[in-house]
Amino acid sequence: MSTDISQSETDPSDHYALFHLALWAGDILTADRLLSEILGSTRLSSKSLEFAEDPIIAAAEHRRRQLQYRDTEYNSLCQAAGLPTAFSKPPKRLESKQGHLAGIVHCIDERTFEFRCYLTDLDWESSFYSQLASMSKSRTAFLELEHLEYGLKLEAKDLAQDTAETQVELETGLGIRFYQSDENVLSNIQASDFCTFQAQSIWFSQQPESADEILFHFEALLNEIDE
Amino acid sequence: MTAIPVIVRSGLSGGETPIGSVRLLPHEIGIASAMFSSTYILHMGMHYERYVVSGYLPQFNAVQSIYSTAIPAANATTKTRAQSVTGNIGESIAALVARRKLNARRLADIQPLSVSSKKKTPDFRMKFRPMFPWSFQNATGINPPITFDFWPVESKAAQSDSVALNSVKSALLQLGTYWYERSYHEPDVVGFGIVVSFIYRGTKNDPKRCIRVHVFCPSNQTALQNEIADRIAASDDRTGFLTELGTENSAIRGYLRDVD
Repeated sequence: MSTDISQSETDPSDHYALFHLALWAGDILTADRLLSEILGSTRLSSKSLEFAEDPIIAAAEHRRRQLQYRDTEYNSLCQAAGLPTAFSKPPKRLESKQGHLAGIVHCIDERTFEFRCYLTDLDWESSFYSQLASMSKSRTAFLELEHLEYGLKLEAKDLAQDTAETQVELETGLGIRFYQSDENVLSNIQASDFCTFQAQSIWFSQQPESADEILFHFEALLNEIDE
Repeated sequence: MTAIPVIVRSGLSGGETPIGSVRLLPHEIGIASAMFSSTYILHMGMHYERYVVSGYLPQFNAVQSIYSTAIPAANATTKTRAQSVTGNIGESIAALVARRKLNARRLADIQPLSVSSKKKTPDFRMKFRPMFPWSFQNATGINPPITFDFWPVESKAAQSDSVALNSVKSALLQLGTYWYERSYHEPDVVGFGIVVSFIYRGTKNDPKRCIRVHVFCPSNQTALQNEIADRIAASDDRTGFLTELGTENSAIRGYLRDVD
């Protein structure tokens, strides 16, 4: 069994975290690529899946099998229905100009679309939350972020007594949730604790005229956060 | 109203230390569940609202005419809660608690772990900063040097305290599986593990919600390591090891703090 990935330039822990973000967003091509990078040429037997030398490799292999199973199931159904099996056109991946964020648009109905966005550069975590808190215009969001310290470098502070000591009476939450609107679109934007946000937008006045109009709307939001 | 107290407890029955509370909004549970839970359920946030939040909200005058989580959704159903939904809520809680209360400050500090649909392994590996925080020291009464990189962590949800205790006992076996499998590669982690248990409703007489972080530590790590090594050398008797770990007052349980 090979676990060379742990000695390579890439950090498998970060790749593994990013894989879950991409999968959540529906960015299947990126998720697939990340999984391949984690696993390399590794193929574990069912027996060695039970933890092997590296639990992350084992977990990644398990996820590869789960996705492969779903793929096979989907392809069998397509074949039975006489439909093409492969993706003829994967969903368009939107990326911010600065390159810290990416996301995929999901259709909910003809006027409602959900954008699932995730951080592609985990070193930008702290800025990601600050930007969202700033856009929310919520003082509470800033105060809560101060306590959570997501993505902040640790070092010396980490070695000292931990912040939990000061949190005995503290209620912690993230609470980054806000609305944006223009003459035709209302968006509800919600951040999670796991380097993601989702924006659900409703074209309340007129239906969107094209896919490009929808993608343009969410791309603008992406660049507003990652400016 | 939606804030839930978090308490660190040593093992199953040891000392406790409160570490404040977490405010869990439905959409936060929704995303955590979509990322870390095993069952494919859409709109988990709304499930969370109806299953957990409902009954804990004031009946604001402003929404009295609206069918909402505050009223009458709490009591206007004949249906039971679906186990796969409460299971999903349970699987997502540990990640949120780790981020907010245990200083898992980088996203990669949380690693979902399930490696097989058949073997009962813990849900996560997690890194806390520091690895043995003040609250753990206070609850367990010890401050051991931690030389392993990640804690094995299992995440559970249960309706009441007594049901939660049983699920923590079964979670201990999942930690045991990890110790057994990792003992050769990572002997220092043997005996250390976390079970996060979310009691989402309580009982009629004690309708309190809380999240308990059960911290398991060895009282005699060398003996526990030797026990595993002997069983691996003899006949790879993991089943026997787990059976004894699940048996009250067994020798193996004696190597852990605050279990019996």
